[in-house]
Amino acid sequence: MPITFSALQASVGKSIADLCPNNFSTPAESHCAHYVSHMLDLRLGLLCGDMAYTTRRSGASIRVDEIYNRLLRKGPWVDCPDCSDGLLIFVTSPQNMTNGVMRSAPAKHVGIHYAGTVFHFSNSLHKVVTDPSVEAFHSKFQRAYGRPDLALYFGAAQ
Amino acid sequence: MSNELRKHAACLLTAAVLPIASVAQNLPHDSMDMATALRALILAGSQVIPKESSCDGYYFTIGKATVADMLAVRMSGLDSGSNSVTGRCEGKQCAVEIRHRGGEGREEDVSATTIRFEMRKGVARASTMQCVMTP
Repeated sequence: MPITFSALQASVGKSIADLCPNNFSTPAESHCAHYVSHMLDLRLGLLCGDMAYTTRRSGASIRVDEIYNRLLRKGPWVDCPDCSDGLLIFVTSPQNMTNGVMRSAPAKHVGIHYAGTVFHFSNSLHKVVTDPSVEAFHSKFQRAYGRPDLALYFGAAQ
Repeated sequence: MSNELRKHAACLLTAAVLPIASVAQNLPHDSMDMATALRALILAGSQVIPKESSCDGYYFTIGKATVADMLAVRMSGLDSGSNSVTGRCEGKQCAVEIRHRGGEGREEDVSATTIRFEMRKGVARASTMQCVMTP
């Protein structure tokens, strides 16, 4: 079922512990991919449930590159079909991309774009936040990673 | 991996381990443990990470990634902010953690890698490696 704006709005302010039934909520980890995967029911690559034997092969994806590389429809944000609601929006350096494949490098982030707003998990606030526009999301991570060359990419999960 | 990248990886690994190794004699026991874990992992640098391992990923190469490829890429974000590389061993079971958080105004820049492995004769065995790696 496609994600709805109200479902995304309801997630704002929640911690990853509120969203993950497998209790993979270590604050030192980056949970951006983990958040979008629980919201969109993505099960690509390693899952949060794989972090413990008793919950193996359950839950949602936890790595940005594994999500992006396994999606069928993806590419630079400027090429997104109509930038429709519910698209994944990735941010990383073009140096982390080779022939359309995203590398397992650290500096990358992902959120969900809906009605111009970007919903994503803040690893400094440890909760789900929104940015009011794609541009605001982009510039936030240009500052966060300290590099102006960051590019945006889209991925269609549904 | 190209020669240039190999040199880059070697520099990163050397930078990561030298401060530890150079003062290891004067540090308490847990720091010796840390050096043991790091050394075991570095000595395994040329081992191929099995495809089915949770440590497998797209690092510098498409195809067979090595432990050195993984360490180089995961340590490549440690040039600023707040970083730590820690390790420990209990018998043959070891773990190395690489943590990164951006500095002031850059707190959203977070990455974390935990590599657990079994070592044999002081060298990590890639076939036993398990990783928790985000984002």
